[in-house]
Amino acid sequence: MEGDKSAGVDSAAVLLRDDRATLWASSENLGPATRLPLVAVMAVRKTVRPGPEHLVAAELVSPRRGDALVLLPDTLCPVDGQIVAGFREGAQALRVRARQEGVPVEVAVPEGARPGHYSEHAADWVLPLILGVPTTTVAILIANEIQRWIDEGRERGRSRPPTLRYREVLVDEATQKASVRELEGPADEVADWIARRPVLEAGREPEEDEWQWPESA
Amino acid sequence: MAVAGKRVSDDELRLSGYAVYYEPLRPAPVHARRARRLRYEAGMAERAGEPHAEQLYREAIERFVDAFLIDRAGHAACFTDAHAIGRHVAERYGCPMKDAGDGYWTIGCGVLALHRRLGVSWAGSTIGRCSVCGAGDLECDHVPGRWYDGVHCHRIVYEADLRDISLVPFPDDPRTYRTEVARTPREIRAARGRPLRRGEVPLCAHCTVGCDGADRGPREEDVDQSLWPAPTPGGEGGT
Repeated sequence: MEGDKSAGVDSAAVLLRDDRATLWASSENLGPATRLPLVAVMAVRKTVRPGPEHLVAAELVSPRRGDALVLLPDTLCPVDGQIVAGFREGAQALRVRARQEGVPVEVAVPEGARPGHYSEHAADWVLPLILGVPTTTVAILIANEIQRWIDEGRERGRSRPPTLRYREVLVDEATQKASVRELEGPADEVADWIARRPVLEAGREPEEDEWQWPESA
Repeated sequence: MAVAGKRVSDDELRLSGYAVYYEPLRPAPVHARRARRLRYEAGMAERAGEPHAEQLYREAIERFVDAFLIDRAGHAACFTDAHAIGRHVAERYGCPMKDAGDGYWTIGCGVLALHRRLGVSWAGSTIGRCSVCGAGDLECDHVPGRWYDGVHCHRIVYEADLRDISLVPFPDDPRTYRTEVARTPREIRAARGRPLRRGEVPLCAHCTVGCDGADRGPREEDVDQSLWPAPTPGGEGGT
C-alpha cells in the first residue's frame, strides 16, 4: 500500500470532483500523511446553467439595487388559485440577518404574486437565489449565516458534514439573458469560498483553477 | 399525508409513511421531556390498573423516537428508552400487527424508525404564516426555529402545491424516517413456520427478541449519520 499512495491520491482527487463519497472512501484507505492533500482538494461542484424561465432578465437589471442583497424566487406557480413566488427556506433567516446588520435587502416578488416557500430535496440546505455577484459585505453576511447554520446543526447533534447549494443569477445586459452559477459541496467549504471570493476578484490572491467557473451553458 | 403502494406481489415492496407532519418540528429536548412525563404517567396508570396505561406507554415511545431522530448524538439515550418501553409493552400487552386487508401486515410503531436509513421528503410550493405574529411569508422579523419570549417560532403552512415525494437518506423532517415496509404473506409464513390460522394476528417481536436495543443502546452507525452512505452532490437538478 505504501508504494501506491501517490497514485491513490491522484486517482482519488480525480474522482472527488464528481463524487464526495469517493473522497471519504478513498481517504479512509490511505494513511494520515496522504489524507491532507485529499482534504485540500475543493470538493465543491460548480455549474453554470440558463436562468429559470420565470425570471425576466430585463426586470432584474435595476440600477437602484446597488449593493443590496436581492433574493429571488425559485419558482412562480399557482397554489390554490394564487400565484406564489416560492423562496427557499433560508430566505427569511438571511433577510432578517441582513436587516439586523444594516445591509439593504430586497425580496423580489413579481407583480401579482405573493411570497411563499419552495422546497425540494437536494443538498441539505439550498440557499435562496441571489441576484448578481455579492459585494464583500453581502458575501460575508452569507458566509456568516452559513456558519451559524452549521453551528446550529452541530449543537443539535448533526454528526455528518452538511452539504450546501449556493446559486447566483447573473444577467448579461447585452444579450438580456440570465444565467445561474451554482456551487454545491460541503457547507464549510462553500462558506469559505463565498467569503474569500471578493478578495480574489480584487486581485489580491493568485488566481487558481479552483476559482474558475465552467463555460456558460 | 401518507405514501402507500397498491397491491403488490411477494417479490415487491409495499412502503408506507408520512411525508408531512401537521405538528411543527420541535426541539429534541421538548420531545424527551414529554416522553419522560408520559412514561411516568403510564407507570402510575399501570400500577392503578387503569386501561389507558398502554396508550400512554405507546405515546411515550413515539416521543422518545422523535427526540432521537431529531438529535441523535444528544439524545442517544432515547433510543434505549424507546426500546425498553417497547419491550415492556410487548411483554405486558403484546404488539399486534395491523391487517391491511389483503394478506399484508403492518406494525406502525416508531421504534422501527430508529433503524431506518431512508426518510420521506416532498417538493413543492407552500403559503404559510408566522406562528409568533401571524404575518405572511417574508413579512416579519421572526425566524423559524428560534425562540421569542418563550414562544417557539415555526411556519404554519396552510396552502400547499405538492410536486413530488422522494425517499432520501437525510430528509428535511427526520420524523419521516417512520417509513414502514409491510410484511408480505410469505414473510409472515416464514417467520412462523406455518400459515396464519383463521383469525390469528401476528405479533411484533422487535423489542423482545428482534433487537437488543434496550440493553446495548444504539450502535455507532445509528447515532453517527456520517457513517451512512453519502449522497452524490447534484442528485437533483433544476432551480
